[in-house]
Amino acid sequence: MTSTIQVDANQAFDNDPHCVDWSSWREFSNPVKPPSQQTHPSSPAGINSKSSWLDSSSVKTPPHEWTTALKIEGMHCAACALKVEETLQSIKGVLQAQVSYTANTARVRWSTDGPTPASWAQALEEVGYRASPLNNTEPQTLTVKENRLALWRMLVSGFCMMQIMMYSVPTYLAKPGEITPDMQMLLRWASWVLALPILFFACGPFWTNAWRDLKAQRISMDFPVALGIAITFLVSTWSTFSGPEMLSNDVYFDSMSMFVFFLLVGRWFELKLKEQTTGSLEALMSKMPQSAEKLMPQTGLYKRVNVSSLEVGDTIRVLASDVFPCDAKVLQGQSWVEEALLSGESKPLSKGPGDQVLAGSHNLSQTLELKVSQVGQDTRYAQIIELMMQASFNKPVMVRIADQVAKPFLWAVLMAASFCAFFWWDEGPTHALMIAVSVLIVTCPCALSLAAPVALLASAGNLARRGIYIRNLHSLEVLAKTQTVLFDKTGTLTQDKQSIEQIITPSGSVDLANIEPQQLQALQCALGLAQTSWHPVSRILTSDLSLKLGLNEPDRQRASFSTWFTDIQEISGQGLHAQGQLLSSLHPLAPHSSSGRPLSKIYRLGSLSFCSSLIAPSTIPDQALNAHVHLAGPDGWMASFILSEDIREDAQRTLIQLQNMSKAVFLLSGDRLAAVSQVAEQIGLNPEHQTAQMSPADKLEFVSSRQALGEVVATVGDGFNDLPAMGKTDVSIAFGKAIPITQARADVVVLSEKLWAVPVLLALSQKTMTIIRQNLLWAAFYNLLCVPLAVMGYFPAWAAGLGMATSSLWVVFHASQLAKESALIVPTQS
Amino acid sequence: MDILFLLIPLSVALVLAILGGLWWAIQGGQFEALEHEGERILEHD
Repeated sequence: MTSTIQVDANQAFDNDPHCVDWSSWREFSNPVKPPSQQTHPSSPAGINSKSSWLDSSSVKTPPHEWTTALKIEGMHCAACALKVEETLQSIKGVLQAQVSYTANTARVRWSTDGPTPASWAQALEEVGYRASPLNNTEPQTLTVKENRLALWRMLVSGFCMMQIMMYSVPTYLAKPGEITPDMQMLLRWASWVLALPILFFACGPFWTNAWRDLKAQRISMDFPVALGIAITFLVSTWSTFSGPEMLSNDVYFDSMSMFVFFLLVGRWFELKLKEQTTGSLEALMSKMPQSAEKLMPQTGLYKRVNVSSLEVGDTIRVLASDVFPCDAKVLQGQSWVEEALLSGESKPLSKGPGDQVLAGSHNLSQTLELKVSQVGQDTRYAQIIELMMQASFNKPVMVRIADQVAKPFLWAVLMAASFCAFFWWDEGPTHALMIAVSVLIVTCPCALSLAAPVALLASAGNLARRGIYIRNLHSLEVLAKTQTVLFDKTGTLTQDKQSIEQIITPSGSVDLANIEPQQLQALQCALGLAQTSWHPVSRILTSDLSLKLGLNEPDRQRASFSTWFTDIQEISGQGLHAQGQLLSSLHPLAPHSSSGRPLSKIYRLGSLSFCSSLIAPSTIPDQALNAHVHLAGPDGWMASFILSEDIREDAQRTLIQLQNMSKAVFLLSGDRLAAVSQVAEQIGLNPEHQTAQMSPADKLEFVSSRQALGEVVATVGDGFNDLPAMGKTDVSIAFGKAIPITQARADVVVLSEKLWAVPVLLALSQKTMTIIRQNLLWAAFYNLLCVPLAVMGYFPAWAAGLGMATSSLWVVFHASQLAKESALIVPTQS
Repeated sequence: MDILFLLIPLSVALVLAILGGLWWAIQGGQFEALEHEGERILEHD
């Protein structure tokens, strides 16, 4: 599960991905286990055992299935991505392949009965792409060298273009006969010389891609472009060198150079935007340090080792201004830590002994000594990367359609161009060829295929910078149509950190300074039971009781309380049920069975109705009746816990905003009506819009009924007892400290824990869809308008080039406004 | 206008020289962090 690349001390910094040895494929490609198999660090004992209500939506994967990520080089358009997908899926053993053109990566789900990934590379090479295992710490955007080359090519074409224009202007301005033939020939020769650098340096990628297309007998967008450039150059060269009688024919070096320049500028900007969006992914990844200082047990000294060799339990030291290489717990030191990249929150947090730090966050002020708790794939950080990568794979419907249309369209373009050439041949072959070139260039569907992906990625990247991670790009489309928003109460509308306000026991309220032994036993019982559950209320009980009893996590003594119980079951929406031996073994007067073994007794921790079977009604005082959690045992009622409930500060504002946006808002909760009303009142929600005592099945039912009314439903929750509902809803938004499976399956994960993220998501998604529509319209309009013009000969080649580049640029610029901070501002009405 | 027979080839050579200079500048990393140069004046050392 973790990528443990064994590195010896001398090679601590060697991380050359190009020396990848295919036999160690599995280690490098970080296979991702499906969420149901992922273990969580402080996984409470017993969580995976009897969670029957998870079955309806849990992920059952066969044992020999792996998911591998690949880096693919050589893809230059969406049609290439399709080809790679086809190729991969045709390999035996591959179950599913998803390719992202914008991220240059592929995810393949394969079973071990088929060939190993090493053979995939060969299959892909045959169609002209290079595949290598994807190391998560390797940057995926262009390297420095590639960036420089792209800039170089653009500048070469720019400068040559300018000079060639200088030579062409006299020929445009002069009246016939004003320029002597000698001079004309000189100008042409000079233009020809300067066209050579363009041809050799600037057009390099076009030639390689076109050649690759020819070899693989298929077509991509570079092929018409390369064809156009080649024809133009050959025609012009022939006119230049075949003697003075050719002077009557025009040369088109200026068109060619302008065309190349505009094309390269368009691609340059596309690259920059791609960097900006997947660049936020890069920012996350590049922050990961390659090495860390580890305490060597033999010598007791700190030594710098490769991060991949760290294991859970190691002691490491992180200096000020360094980045934490893994999730860890602070042993010694006090420092300010910035977790901006993970949660979008830029305020530094103070961390001291006992606090958890996350991989990827920044240590700001002091050196800290830490104990590693999570490494590699299990860190929150790696999970975020995973989330972001997944986002670029799940292709929205629109993009898929665009991809499929591209291929036949390109063939049609070639046919149209050849047709034009024949049609115009009588008027002069040169002229005919140039018209064909114009048609080739003008019909190129670059803008069309850029329209949607660029906008979606810009939005997703922008949101990611704010701690809102979109796992499924398609959900942006759905969010734009959302009319109903369902909120969970505990953990979503209310803060995760709550505390116990009051504990009531048969001998009265618990006074922590003066705890009675019976009360202590009750608290220890409750702690023992609560530890085993992920329920928000259990977590509160666990943390607060540990604090109150003076126990730190993880503590052997605390863990021992759970061992008093056997057969712990969690019944959703109700509580925990266990068999315990507490009183039977400790209490000297406890009844024993005839065999001498102590009798097991039933203990219950949960709602009042759940515990009522064990409690005689009159034993509970009135004030304890409204408590949140009750503990009952063989002797009846043992304790009641009243929890304080803090509503998130932006809850009210969010609700008002959503109502202003005409969205129907509902509060779904499994809690008692009293608690729900209290929260609803505080945020200003109508009684008709709240529900209480809902089981997971009830919540699912609610979602279905709203969907039956034709509404598009978004659900915001932490997955805890709304997992089926999260699965059924059109968009699921995982909030707060959602349980791992929710984080892995939800469409959107809000790490910044601000409820305001919901209106932001809705507003931004609408803006995104508007921009996509505008882009598509523009691209279609441009093509429809210009093709007839080009066929009729009114579109000179340089104008075609200009038009093509401008339309792509326009699409990219138009979408780039989604990447700005201002896009995240939600218009609030008074 | 015979001088043009000298000047035009000279301009071609000039453009090639410019391209050479660009290559050197790009390879030298001068186009990398474009905002950094402006901020350099504010740095301490």
